[in-house]
Amino acid sequence: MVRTIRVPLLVDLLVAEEPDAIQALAAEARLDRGVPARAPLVNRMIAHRVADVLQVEGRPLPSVAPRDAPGRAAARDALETRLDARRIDQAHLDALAAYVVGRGDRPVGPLVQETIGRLFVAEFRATDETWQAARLLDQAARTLNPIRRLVWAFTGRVNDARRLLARRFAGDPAALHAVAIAVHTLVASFQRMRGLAARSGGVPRHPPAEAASICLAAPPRVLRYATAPGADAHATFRAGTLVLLGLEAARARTLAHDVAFLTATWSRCPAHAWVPALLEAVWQRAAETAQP
Amino acid sequence: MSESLLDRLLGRFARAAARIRAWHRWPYFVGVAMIVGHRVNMRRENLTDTEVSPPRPPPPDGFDVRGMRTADGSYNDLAKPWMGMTGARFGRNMPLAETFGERPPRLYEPSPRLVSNRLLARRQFVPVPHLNLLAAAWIQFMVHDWLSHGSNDKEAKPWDVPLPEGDRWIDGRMTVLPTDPDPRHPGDEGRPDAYTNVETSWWDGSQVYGSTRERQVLVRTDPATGKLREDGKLGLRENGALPLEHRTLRGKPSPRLELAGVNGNWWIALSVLHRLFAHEHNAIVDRLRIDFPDASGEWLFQKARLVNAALMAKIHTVEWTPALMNSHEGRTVMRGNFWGIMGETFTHAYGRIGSGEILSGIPGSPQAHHSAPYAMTEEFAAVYRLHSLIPDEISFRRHTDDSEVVRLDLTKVAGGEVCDVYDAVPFDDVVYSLGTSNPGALVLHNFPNALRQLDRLDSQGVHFDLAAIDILRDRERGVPRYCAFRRRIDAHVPSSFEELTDDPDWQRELREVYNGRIEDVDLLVGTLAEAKSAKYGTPPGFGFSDTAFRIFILMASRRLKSDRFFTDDFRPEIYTPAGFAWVQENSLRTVLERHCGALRPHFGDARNVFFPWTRAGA
Repeated sequence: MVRTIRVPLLVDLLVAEEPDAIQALAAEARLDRGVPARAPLVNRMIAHRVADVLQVEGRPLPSVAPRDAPGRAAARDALETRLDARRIDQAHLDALAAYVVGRGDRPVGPLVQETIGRLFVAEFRATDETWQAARLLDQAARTLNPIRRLVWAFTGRVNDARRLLARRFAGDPAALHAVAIAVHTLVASFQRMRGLAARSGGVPRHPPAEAASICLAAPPRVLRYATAPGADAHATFRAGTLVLLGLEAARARTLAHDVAFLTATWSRCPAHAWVPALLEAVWQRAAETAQP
Repeated sequence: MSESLLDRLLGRFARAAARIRAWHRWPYFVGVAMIVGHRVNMRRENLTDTEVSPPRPPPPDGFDVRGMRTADGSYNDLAKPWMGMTGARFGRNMPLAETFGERPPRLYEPSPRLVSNRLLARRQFVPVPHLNLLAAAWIQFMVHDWLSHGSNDKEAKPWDVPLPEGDRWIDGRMTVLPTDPDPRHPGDEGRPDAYTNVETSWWDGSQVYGSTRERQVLVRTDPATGKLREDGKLGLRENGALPLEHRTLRGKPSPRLELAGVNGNWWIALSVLHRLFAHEHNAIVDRLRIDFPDASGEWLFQKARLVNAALMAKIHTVEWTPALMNSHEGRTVMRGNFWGIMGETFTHAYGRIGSGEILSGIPGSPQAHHSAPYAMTEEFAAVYRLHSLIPDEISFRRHTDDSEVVRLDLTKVAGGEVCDVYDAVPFDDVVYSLGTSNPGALVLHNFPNALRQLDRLDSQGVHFDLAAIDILRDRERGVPRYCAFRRRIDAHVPSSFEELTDDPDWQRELREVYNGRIEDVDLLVGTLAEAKSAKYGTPPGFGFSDTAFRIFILMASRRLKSDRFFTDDFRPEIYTPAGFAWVQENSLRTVLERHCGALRPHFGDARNVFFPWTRAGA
């Protein structure tokens, strides 16, 4: 089902939450990331806000870089190759497993942020400060609250948060996206895992692949905008239409990883294999540690 | 199909109002609005597709798929011709993440046999005073139309159900073959097992006509000659009874077993309905032949099938369901599915108003599948576990004076022994007996004991406890347990056994069986326990639980709304004018009048023929 919200000159949104519609729209050549040149007011506000928050030193983070942005595809492929070769160190695996079975003493947010961050910087240590910075950037990218945005603009908190994290990763946009934005969906996955284990008295019982499938979280929504008018079997759009792909709702309907990561499209997530593998490894470890 | 603004408002209203109290505790208009709103929400959130590699239907080969139903259910949806066909997968009413099948040890926690012994076993027959036994048979008749999981997986290691201490089950071991899952396809990674429906999922009378062309030919064969009837009628014996097949649809020998599209789990009441609707088919053929004297037997058969299936759907929607949901709201909603809120009289007189389903009902409105391709669902099969409706014995009485001819145990009126009943009791008296007897209530401690130890003494000597199997199957197929299930349908989730049921004895028994864990209560057990929960449970006047009702309001509408022959093609051009009128003008009452005219004095005064009939001499 694709919902449309259209008020001339003010807003023109398409919201897709069906797997088929999402796959079709994600592959649509006339939809791209970035900021539309011409669009209704609310569309432009949303696109500018996202572009403004999700950038580092003027360079867009990979999750908002247009399809033809120089070097985007090559950087994504390189990161994918690097991630597939990386293993999680035992200490983080144990800590995450302990969290899943309800025994961990470390907050899950910083723990996951550190796990991810070390894929980019080997000695990265997540602190409450880095975690709060990640939360702030994520909120800033999502909020529609103008007062909150005004306060942030006035105090410069969002810029400070971005600078803090950028310094730790030498301004690497991919790393910044991972530890500030993507980290939250992974945290949600581990929270689900903990809930799943708790349902059976803290003892993980599902096979790891099954648990990973049940618990994998996808980004709630990703944005595209129409560069030209068009239509497909699911929707009709005009130039400037903002398209919200509800990945989490769609993934819940199919449990298909390729919906969560848009694996078969130009915008596939480079961590599409790494994340499920991590979830499985943590669940496996949790099952081992929960044995009496 | 996008939701209208009204739909969205009703959906939100239902959700908000349900936080305060259940729909049946609000005034009439609020309650009806909430039911419609719940359906809107469920059409959006409780339809999940499981197909990754749908079956490929054969080309129609000249068969008029636009104007007739195919035997295997293909080509109902012309864009996705596999939809609803034999061999397509069951869908789900739950998110896939909630539907991974349970495996040992969780599968046996607590033992299904313990649940059967302690919570389900009938202690004393508890009847439903406002229904007759035809109501129990009718739903089995319908379920045989909609779904079957087919044979179990004989290659797999059987489930070994733990026996409670002191249980004297035969041989001291209870094994059950697992359900046979559909082979996994490349797109199935990370997804739960799915199962296939070996019947068509459509409301197409396949329990009468079969779900394959071969079966269709068989039921059209004249038992006297062994040849296909050329007149488009179904085969019947000279005395009007169904032909004998002597084996089940799955090929298991069963002496004197009658022939039908589906003849599994056969018993006298099911036989009665099959016989009535075989005769009804033949009556429809006679009527159509008046208008189409030159039509072929094949054409007459297919058109009569179309009409007969629609009549059965109508009976279920406007007679059976309102009988089971015997409240103002229940009647309004279920009759509204067929006639809309304008009602039957208005629709007869003036036809449809617009294309919406609210004013003039679903038949004739545009086809829509909402958020998933049409399929029967595992959860639907689960909430239709209504074995407690069946009594352990039946008294057969003469309709002339109500005197008893014979009283028989359930096992003596099942399988091939149905013919023995007919040998001793005339057909009209059998129907009279069913119309004047009550079914069992859907409550704890009312599962027929005859079904708790079924002895299928074939070469391997198989015994089974159907109550334990009901519990096991839901767990095995990943149907969420009661609390998890309710959580997903916007229904109140009990946090204690006291909230689940008002009966202190039941609370204690449930707590003991489930070790105090309310979240572990099985779906079936929860639905039976809520029969005694005034606040959140079975609505007043209803024959089944509120939990089941939520799935019914979704799926009852869907069976009509997804089917091209009830929506876009529910029109005289497809059904023929006489056939279309037959559907509009008939009911179970007229079917009974036509084929059991002598019984008219007994059901003539009944507001609904599924209510108890007047006894002779009363």
